[in-house]
Amino acid sequence: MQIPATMRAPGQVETAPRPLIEARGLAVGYDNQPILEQLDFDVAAGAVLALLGGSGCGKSTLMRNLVGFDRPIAGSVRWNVTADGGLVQGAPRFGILFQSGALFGSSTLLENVALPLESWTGLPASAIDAVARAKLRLVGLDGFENHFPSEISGGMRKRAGIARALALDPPLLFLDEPSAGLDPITSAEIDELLLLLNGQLGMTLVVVTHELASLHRIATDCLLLDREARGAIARGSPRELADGSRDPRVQRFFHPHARSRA
Amino acid sequence: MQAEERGFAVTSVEEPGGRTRLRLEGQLGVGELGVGWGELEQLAKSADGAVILDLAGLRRVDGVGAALLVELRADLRRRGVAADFHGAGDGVAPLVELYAQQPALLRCKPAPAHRGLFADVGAFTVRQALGVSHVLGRLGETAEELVKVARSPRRLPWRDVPRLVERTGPDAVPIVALISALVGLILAFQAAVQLRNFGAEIFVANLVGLSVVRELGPLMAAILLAGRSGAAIAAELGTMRVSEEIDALRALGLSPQAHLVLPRLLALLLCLPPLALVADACGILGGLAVGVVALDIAPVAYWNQTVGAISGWDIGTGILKSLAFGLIVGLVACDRGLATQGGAEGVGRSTTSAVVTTILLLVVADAVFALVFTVLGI
Repeated sequence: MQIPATMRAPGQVETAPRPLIEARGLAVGYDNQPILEQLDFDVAAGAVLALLGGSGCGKSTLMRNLVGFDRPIAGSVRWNVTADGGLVQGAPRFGILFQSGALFGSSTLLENVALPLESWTGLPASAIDAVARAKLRLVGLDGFENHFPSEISGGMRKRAGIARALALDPPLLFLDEPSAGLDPITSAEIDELLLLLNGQLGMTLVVVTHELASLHRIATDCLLLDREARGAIARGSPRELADGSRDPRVQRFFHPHARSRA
Repeated sequence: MQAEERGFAVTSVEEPGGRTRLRLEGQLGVGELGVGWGELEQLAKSADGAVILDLAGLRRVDGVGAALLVELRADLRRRGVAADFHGAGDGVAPLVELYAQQPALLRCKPAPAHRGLFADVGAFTVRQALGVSHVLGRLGETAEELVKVARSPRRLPWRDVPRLVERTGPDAVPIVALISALVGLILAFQAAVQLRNFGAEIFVANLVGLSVVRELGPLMAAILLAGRSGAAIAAELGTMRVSEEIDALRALGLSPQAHLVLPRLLALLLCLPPLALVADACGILGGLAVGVVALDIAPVAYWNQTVGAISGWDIGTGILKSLAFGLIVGLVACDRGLATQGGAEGVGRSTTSAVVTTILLLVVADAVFALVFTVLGI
């Protein structure tokens, strides 16, 4: 959105909207041992940013630092997400889907989705029930409201996890390997859902992934991390990186079979 | 397949220049290795100069055979012997080459070297000390959370409390009753043997009554609860930690302290005093059984003697202690559960650590209570 010139304060320069998250000089790791260092990047509003890299390069660790679960070893993560006025103060400003779904095993799917609503909204029980059912319907799980997480498949658990992450309509959604370990059809369905959330609801997504197909479908922006380099080695759209980069490490990531085909 | 086609043979040929040529023939697979491998190793080890492993006569080799050949060559080279393969045919060469190389992409970082005994002992000690201070930290966090809950009681999942209380309290009554009765019984027998020497059998009632009400009742109930509920809590929270459910809770803006720790602490604090009273009663009944059966004391006389020996304050100190014990069981179990790392094995470690640390702290706390009560003269 452009600010009309008359409304601008004197001296203020017209700039792009502020990024939702700004990471500066970020170093993350465990026990003061950095896995990734010197990371500088933004998460722009409305983007689908993919955090890429091989196993063990620190993608999930970086995500934990971005959302504030772990404390960075160095540098800073700055959030510019404003809280929704309708929620109780202290409500989370983001949703997150964990690798395993991380649903509460002792609660039904409906209770899982209803929990954040009960905690952070003043809605009456009947309204919470209706909203939770609607969220489950959004991810195609209507009819499974009273099932326990152990009674449904892995793909369904991930979808239920997305429904729970969406419960409070956060402006920002983190997803840790949303399609890993799923069959291609379910995986494509989840991608469709993510595109819908991004396109229709304007939700900003940060996705940890190493599924190339899914990456090309949904990501607008990629940050390629490397374990040896202990940092980011490339930044750009999937197309730019796949076709434009000369870095052999980038090429190997985007065209893993090129060598054996040659 | 004919019998002579199986197995393989080795012949050793001394060549000029001190070289040894080991000629392998037949096929080298997992089924044939028992026959001649030991002989091949012997020959290779006894060679003085360079060794040539001549594979020209090998018709077939499988993964096991190839791996062993590569390992044998590496072993010889490590000992400073020049060793090489020679003449591997089409059925042999690809597999041997596959095992001889290590794809650069798949190479993993070396695991950290073992630190040695002293470093391990030191690290263990530091970990234990940090563990106790960690529990104290958890106490602080819990108190902080308690204040928040007092301000807005909605933070606590009250729905969970009745279920937790049932699992902690009523479900534990049979085992607490049985163990306390047996402890009372044993105590009475031991006391009877000594007191009979002085013709003071009736004082068994005093000894059993006071020991059980002041010390053993609360302590036995707490130790049993550490084994039952403490272990269950540590395993439950540990599994939740491992399956990212704790993180999910935090991501929803809910505090694990309010959502998980406080309800469990509440259940323990509600259940342990009544369980201590059950333990008191059963311990006294155990003593009474010995008094009646073995010492021919009339039940009423034993009962009156017990009632005369115990004051309300004795029972009060027991209840006071059991509240402190409940706090210890709950805090340690929750702390260890929430601090779980690793997978299923980590959950096992947390559970063990929770029970062991709890029992240790219970006995220490009991000693502190004994000291304080003695100093205060109560």
